Amino acid sequence: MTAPTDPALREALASYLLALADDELIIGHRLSEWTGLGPIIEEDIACSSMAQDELGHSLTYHRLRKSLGVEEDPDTLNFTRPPEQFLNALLCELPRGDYGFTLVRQTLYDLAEFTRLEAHAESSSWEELAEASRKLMQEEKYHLAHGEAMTRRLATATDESRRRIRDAFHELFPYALGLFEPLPQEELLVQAGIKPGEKELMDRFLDRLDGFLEGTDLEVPAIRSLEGGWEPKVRPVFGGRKGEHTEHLAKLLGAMQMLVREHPGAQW
Amino acid sequence: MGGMVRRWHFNPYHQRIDESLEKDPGEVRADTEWPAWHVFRQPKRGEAHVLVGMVHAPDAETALLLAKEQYARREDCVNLWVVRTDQVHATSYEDADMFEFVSDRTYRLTRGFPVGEKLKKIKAGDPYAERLETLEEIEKEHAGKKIPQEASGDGSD
Repeated sequence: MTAPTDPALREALASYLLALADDELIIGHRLSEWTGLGPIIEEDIACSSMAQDELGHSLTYHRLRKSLGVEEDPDTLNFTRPPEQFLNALLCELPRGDYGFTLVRQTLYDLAEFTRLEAHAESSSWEELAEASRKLMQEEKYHLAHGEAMTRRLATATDESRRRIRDAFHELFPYALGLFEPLPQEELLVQAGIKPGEKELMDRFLDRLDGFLEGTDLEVPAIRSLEGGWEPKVRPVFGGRKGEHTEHLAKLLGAMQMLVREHPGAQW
Repeated sequence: MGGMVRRWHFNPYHQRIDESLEKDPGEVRADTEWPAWHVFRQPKRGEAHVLVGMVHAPDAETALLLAKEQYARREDCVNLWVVRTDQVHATSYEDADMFEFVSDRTYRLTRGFPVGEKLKKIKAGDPYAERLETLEEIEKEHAGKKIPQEASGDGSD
């Protein structure tokens, strides 16, 4: 189907796309904070390159919003909005931590993103979203390959690396579940066939994570329910989709938006 | 670095470098460095793989992933090779004199056949130039013609 015309559905879709664009922007920014400081130069470059990929994905979602008729300019949105107007999940805004933390956070994020893109590509009723998702999956495939290769090796190497990966995983897992916080207008999107429900996406994500953790001594902190889905043993950290953020986002935006706020309208 | 006074830099890069230096690097050992790999990139199918640089990586799979990010971000690439540097066997520069010519080796060259002369004449359109035909040209010339039958031995032809 072409772009939906129903105003309530369009608004729901515009919010959904903004949430995904914000996820990509904020996590891309966090990845880019390793530029110049990576543990080895190849990982430094890989992080910088993946950060650019994530920013490109963010732009893709903004372009989809534009094709819905939303007139908001992405630069204005990204450099002038206060933290409470950002819709990213809290996972993305956490500070970069040590390298293991970044690696686990990125891998969890990429697994979740891949699950979501796959769902859009296979079954979204909005053809443009399905098409864009297919293209993004191509890049994500390599983010996943990189994350998988590095995380798997660190998770099975020395005592120290295993400990760091395990600690990072247990700290980050509740935040990763927060990527599946439904937006207020979720029902409209599901009924129109644009996306599956967030619970179903979370189930698919945990299936994928379960397979990914095979061979490591980590397990998904959730139990399989009778219907085949998952019941997490920990409470997901929600709030991002409602604009309720940690102090980390304010600090991040303070640095990111500083120049534009001090010199509005400046030309580069 | 532990007793360093915290300085404020305008440039966040400088700030973060200071923060990193303040942390104790711990013991640095030569045997913890990863092996080096040469990276070869193939711009298009059918073209030669070209040496573009090196990566350090613990094994081949990681080397390929890191080489993709480092050497195939901006340029055309359809294929990457990685070869561990200790798998490359090379001559020594001290022996470079083995490649020099100490005597006249013109007899090894193919200068005895005046191919260039013939080509020049053909290009100039000389009808009496001895023609050099490629296999394709011969096939085109004889396309559609029947292969002449050999005379059978019993004289019936």
